[in-house]
Amino acid sequence: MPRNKASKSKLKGLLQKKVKQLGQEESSFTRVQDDSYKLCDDEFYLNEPKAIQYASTYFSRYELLMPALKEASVRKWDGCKIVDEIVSLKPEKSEKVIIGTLFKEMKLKPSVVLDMVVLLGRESGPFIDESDSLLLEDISGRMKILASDIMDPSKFVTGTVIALKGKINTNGFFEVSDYTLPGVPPINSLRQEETKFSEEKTLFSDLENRKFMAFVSGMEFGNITQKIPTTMLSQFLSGNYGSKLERLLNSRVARILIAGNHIAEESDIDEVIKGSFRTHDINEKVYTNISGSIEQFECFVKAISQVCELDIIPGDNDIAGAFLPQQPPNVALFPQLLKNDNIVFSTNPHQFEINGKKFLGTSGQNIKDICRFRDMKEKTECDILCDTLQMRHIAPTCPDTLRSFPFISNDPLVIKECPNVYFSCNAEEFGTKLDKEESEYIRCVTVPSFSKTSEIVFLDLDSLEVYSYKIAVERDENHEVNMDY
Amino acid sequence: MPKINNFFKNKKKGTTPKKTKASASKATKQMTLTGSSSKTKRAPKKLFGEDSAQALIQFDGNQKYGPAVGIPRIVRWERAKNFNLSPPIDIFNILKDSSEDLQFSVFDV
Repeated sequence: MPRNKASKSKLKGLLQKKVKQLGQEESSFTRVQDDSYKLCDDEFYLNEPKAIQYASTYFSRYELLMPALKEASVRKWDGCKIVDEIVSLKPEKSEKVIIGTLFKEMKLKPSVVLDMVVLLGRESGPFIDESDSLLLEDISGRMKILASDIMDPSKFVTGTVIALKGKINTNGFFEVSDYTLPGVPPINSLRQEETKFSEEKTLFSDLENRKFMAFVSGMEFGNITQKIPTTMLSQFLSGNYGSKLERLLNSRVARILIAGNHIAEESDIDEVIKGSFRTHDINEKVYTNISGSIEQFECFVKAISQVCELDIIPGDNDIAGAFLPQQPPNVALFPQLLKNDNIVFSTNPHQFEINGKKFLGTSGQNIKDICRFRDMKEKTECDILCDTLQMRHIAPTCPDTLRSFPFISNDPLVIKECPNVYFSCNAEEFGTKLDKEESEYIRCVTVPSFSKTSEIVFLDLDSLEVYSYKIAVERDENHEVNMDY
Repeated sequence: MPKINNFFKNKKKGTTPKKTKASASKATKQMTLTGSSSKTKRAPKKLFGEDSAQALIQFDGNQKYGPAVGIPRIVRWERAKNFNLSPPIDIFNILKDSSEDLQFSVFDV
């Protein structure tokens, strides 16, 4: 090590030159701008007076989907007569088509009465049983449906509006020979941007010309195991961490969507709700923990909102109302984010448009609820998501097992227009499916929960390609990361 | 349920039943419980005849237009119109100018 001043200053000069060199190579990137964002959440805000009973919601759902079912059944079974009133069916030789809402009678379905008796929390397993049976209901009445291979009760959920073809037998059961769902919703023909669907591109190829949207869900602040991953995520998304290529990727992200379960569910929260003799201590502990988690989330959002535009969707564990459609969380919960133009607090389900493509999605409660009441063998959450698109309804199990508001003249959870990207968050794993309907591409995506998988999803806004990217302490060799500094 | 009683009332052929003041004030009391009308007593209806009241009751009972409980009649009429169920226009004409106490269905107590 040279000790005299001259060589020290020479070394310093050399170091400065090197740092300058490095600085020129590691040029900072400016984020891609996208001004085409349009919020389309109007339907999910609570605009109209609410009914006291849910009958109106079911009636609206039936009336909204019945024309589509009539069309679908004429297309599929041309010549078969559609019966207006179920109760007027009589045993006949020829087959008829009936249209109505399914109801599944389930022995194991959790009920409030049983909860009181058992006094436990919730069981989350699938509640299917051998004895489950289906009924079809329309305005006039109900009809029992005979369980068969085609009409297996374990494959349907309550609240689906469906058309069945078959005949009534002498026991009063309807024997089904075929069924049809409303099908994919109508596509708005006024789309301006066409999907430039190209061959398979990897995540890092041709980054200069691509625009992305990032999806993150289920970060679960407040959970101790999540402290490091969420810090890493925040640094990653702001572009402070990662290789040059990763930082270039993050600069091409036009918008980030942060979906539900921002804060972890407190372990003692059941005791607070039910009340215990140690009320004061438990309450103080739980509330301090929750407010701590919210503050951590707020800091995270504040850091990212300085460099990118965000959409925030409430989830199941968040402080935003328990009924679907969940209203945006009260901004008073996040005092530091009050006048921040980059953040959009939105409803759950969330609908918006960006780059000329329509997006529709939820935080995942709808899919998880269907999974509880349906046989999930050989089916992934992405399959269920595509099924809900065929049913044209975001959450058919509302309001039966998933809580929702009662509406008088509309059912906002009916999908009236086909989205280009239909997503659901907080899933167990990443899944995706691409469909083509009348020259329009429809991409269904399930965004995995960050706390479980440490994965986030990137979606290419021009070609609708999706990639899941893992942000973890250990990286495996499968990820294409070019560590060139 | 004063309104239901009116529906099933026995009446002599040729004469119209009189709405006594006692039953009228009872009706308004019931309606303030549901929060639907002001505290003014209902004056005997001269403008709207018995036929209109019957027509409204028929509209309430018609299953085709969906549930009627807890919903103002005019909202139910508009909902039926939006779903292309062709509700009769006479009902709308009766409802649009009528007072508050005709807005709720027969089934609402």
